[in-house]
Amino acid sequence: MEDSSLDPGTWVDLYGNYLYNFAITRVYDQMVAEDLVQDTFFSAVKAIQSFEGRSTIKTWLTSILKRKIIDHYRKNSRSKEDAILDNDTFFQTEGILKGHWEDEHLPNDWTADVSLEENSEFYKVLQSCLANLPDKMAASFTMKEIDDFSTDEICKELDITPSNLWVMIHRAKLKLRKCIEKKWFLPDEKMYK
Amino acid sequence: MNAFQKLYIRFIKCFIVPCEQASFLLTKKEFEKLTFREAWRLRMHMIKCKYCRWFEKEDAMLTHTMVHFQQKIDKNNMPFCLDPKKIEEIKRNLQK
Repeated sequence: MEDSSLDPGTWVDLYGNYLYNFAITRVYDQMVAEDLVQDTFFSAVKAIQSFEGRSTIKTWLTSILKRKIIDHYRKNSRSKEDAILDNDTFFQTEGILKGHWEDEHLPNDWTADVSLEENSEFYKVLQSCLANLPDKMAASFTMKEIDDFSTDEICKELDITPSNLWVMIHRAKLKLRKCIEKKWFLPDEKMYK
Repeated sequence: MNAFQKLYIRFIKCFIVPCEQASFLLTKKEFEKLTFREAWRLRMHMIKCKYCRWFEKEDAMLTHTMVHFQQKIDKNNMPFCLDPKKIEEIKRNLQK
């Protein structure tokens, strides 16, 4: 068993799907996720001498993939600087209710539907909404919520300041809730618009 | 607006922040401890504003869903499936 797991030929069958799921739930794009998985296998085969058997193959491959995902974030966030400067307004900008929620962005009481956390259809809608976020915003949101990176690490990798990060995550949340509401809770209404 | 009215508005603002700021403070709270002033304003706002309470719940639900599915993946319960054609392609490329 040990020998066969050291044979790169069997890795793709054994861990390919796991690595793909790991990647796509962080980069939200099928093509990018597939490429990252393929790159991971290439790097692993090249670096197989450095595998010391201290961890399992799966853990080792995952750590290579993690690094590749972060490199992908960095590359994307360098090419697009405008993540914070999008034009959506979620709050009223003038009048007596300045700073209050805009009508179309009013949060709603979703909690009536408690089974959603288990629902994979809902999860796929959530994924597609995450895919719609600007790259840098999605990257910072994912690093924070899924991988629980510290503020310092996120800021270092994405080259932003902590207050930029808070603003970005705040906006990511506002965009996400709007998108989920549109795609999941009110899909019929969207059809008439 | 006379001086007294300005003073009155400043006084009110000690207790009430708009939703924009309150929901931002909810996010900021996840990163670092709020100052006493911020925490107090946020608490006052959350008492009176059902929308911001819902916003907090929605956010918690979305985050929880993401983490929950991540745990599923770790337990080999995959929501997505790698294209079998891609698997073959990677295998072929690896053998080169």
